[in-house]
Amino acid sequence: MADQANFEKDAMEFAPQLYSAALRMTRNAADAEDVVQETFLKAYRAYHTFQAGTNLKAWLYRILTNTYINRYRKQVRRPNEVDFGEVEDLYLYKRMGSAESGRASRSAEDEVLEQFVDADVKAAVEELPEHFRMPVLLADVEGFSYKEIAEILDVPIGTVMSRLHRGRKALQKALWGFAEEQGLTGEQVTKDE
Amino acid sequence: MSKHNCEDAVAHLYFYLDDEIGWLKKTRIKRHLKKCPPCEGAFGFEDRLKTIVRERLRAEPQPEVMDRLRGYLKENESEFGN
Repeated sequence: MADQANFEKDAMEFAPQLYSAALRMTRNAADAEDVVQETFLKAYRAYHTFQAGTNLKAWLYRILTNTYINRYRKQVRRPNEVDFGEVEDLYLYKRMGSAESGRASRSAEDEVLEQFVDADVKAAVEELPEHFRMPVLLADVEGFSYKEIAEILDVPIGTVMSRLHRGRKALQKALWGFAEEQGLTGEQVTKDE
Repeated sequence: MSKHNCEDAVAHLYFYLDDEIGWLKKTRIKRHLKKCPPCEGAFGFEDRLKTIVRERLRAEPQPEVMDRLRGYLKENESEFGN
């Protein structure tokens, strides 16, 4: 049992990370702030049920995820849910080579990668259907293990693996779409002009 | 390099990068990557992409956001953080 008096000392250090995750879930700052506030209040009230010494970060993320889902899942009807289907392995990597040389050099790859500016990655993640987005965020941004993600999202670990792996490939497809729109693909991968 | 080894490595790519794989399998894949530049390139690329995604998606809240959070909790729980 955790002592409620220690809540702020124990939990507040995770607030910036939770806010960052909430921002990626809700897609806007005001909603992210609301979700984090509600999460911390719920966590505070339930803190006596938290088993001290277990994974506090995962426990907080579970509350955050449930709070987000309860608040927004009903009202957010996603207008253009993209059907990513099954995206092939190494989707982006296979497309990084220019048409004539077959394979891009590592530095050319890095240049294209670096050009995926903040907004692109954010938009690409935000486009993902929620069942892909959450595992990708929890694994790739928050660094949770498959087992922790399974506990946070309350789904079997096999489901986490499948959604995470498919979600990453869908993200690659979306990123490639942005790169194409911006003319970053094809032979002119060099940025010095 | 046999095609089978490459297919097997790629099938386990995410488990490998996520460190969600047994050591035996990990050792086998590591050995394969040393001998197979195309797979080594693909694994390196995927790993760098993961890093870039993480870096790009992180957001630091403004100090005011944290202040408001503390204020909100105090308001709703007078005994909070006494």
